[in-house]
Amino acid sequence: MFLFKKYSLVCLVFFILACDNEQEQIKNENTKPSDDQPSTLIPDEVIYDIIHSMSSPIETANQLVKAKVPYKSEFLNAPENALNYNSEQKMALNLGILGADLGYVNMYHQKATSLLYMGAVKLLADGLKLGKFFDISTLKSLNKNSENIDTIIYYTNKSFEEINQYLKNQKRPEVSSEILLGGWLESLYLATKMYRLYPGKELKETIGQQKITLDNIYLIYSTYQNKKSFKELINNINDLKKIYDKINITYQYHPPTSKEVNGVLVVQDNSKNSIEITDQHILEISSLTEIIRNKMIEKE
Amino acid sequence: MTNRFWTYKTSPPSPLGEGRGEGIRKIIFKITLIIFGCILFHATTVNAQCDDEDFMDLCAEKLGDFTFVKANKIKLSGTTKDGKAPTVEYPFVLSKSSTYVLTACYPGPGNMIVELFDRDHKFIMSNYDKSQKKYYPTINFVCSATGVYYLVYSFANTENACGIGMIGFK
Repeated sequence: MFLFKKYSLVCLVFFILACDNEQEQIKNENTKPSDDQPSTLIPDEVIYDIIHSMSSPIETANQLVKAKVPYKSEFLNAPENALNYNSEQKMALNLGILGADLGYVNMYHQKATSLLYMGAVKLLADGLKLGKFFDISTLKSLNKNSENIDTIIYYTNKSFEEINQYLKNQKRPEVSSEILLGGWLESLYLATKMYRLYPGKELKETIGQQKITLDNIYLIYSTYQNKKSFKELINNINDLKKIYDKINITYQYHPPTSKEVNGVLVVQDNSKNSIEITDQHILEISSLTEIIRNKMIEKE
Repeated sequence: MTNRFWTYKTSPPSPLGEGRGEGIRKIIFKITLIIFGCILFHATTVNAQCDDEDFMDLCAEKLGDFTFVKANKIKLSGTTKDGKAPTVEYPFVLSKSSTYVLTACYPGPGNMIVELFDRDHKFIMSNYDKSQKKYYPTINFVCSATGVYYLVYSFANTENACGIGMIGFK
């Protein structure tokens, strides 16, 4: 009986403390300045689900390789530019941009240049207190010894995945969203630049397909509409979306077919989608993407 | 005054006889403890293995000549209200004219199942062939329509399991 009373008393004390703490939290949230107040339109968990669902910039680079577009280093953001960024937003956007460039360089097996981009990515990651996810000595050693570039790509992609998981735990979805935007925009910029030099049906469709990713980015950034520091980025996304809204993507389901090849099940998707995109659309996307991207990589 | 703790400690007379009943009870207790310990050890080991970076690197070997793009770390336990194995769903954008490899990497007994559905949740494929009762650790998917697909993971013949589902492309 005595023990029960003692237990009840302890529970009561904890309950009072918990309620008090909750009130304290509410009080603190109410005293935050309005600019820092996050719009709670989409919970963090959902934002991370969307980020996790997005295709990687390296897939766009792969489409360039498959379309037999030659390697062009002059369109990339120079790795030494990593020294030019000081604010968290600029560093995060350019971590995405230089990360996409690293992916592009790796897809073209440019091992020496890859080292420079690894250094740039590490520098920006350090600036954002995310440097521990890039073990530069391991990556350097892989770069030197590994015949297979896929191992380097694996470790780089894995590091970006770990960064997102860490930022999720740290409740910093804005940084993840900025890395995502920078990476996606850079891959779109490269695809449009290459299309203007080497036009082709596959590349045209790759640019058109970005409508799906942009819709997701638009959704994520709608959460930050009350934040002053995001105003320009949101305006840019809205302007790009206006062009992409003119592009029509249709989908028709057809049952897939499958067969076993050397013990591996190979499934052929028979569904079809048509992407209605004109050269005029691409020209508009290309011009706007270049303006936004060049603003992003400007020195602070 | 009755001492409640002492009352709990005292056993009622055993129908098998005082000494024999106590002995059997001790054996049952020890066996239960060992079984519980084994289950706990297995669950902890398997879960620890899933969080281990080396395990992820080991799973990556299943990608073969595909380029790694994403990993889904899956942890599921118990059963659903209707007694079925729990599932977890991840949306993912797949692109037309790319071939993807989907892997199911699981360190324990039983099997890890990965199923793919299209944007309208229409079934595309599974690494478990029901007609042949066969599991495939990897499946290749030749994508012909860009869009959001849903990857659904579950475990067969096991509870409290964890594993890694990886996606690679070429």
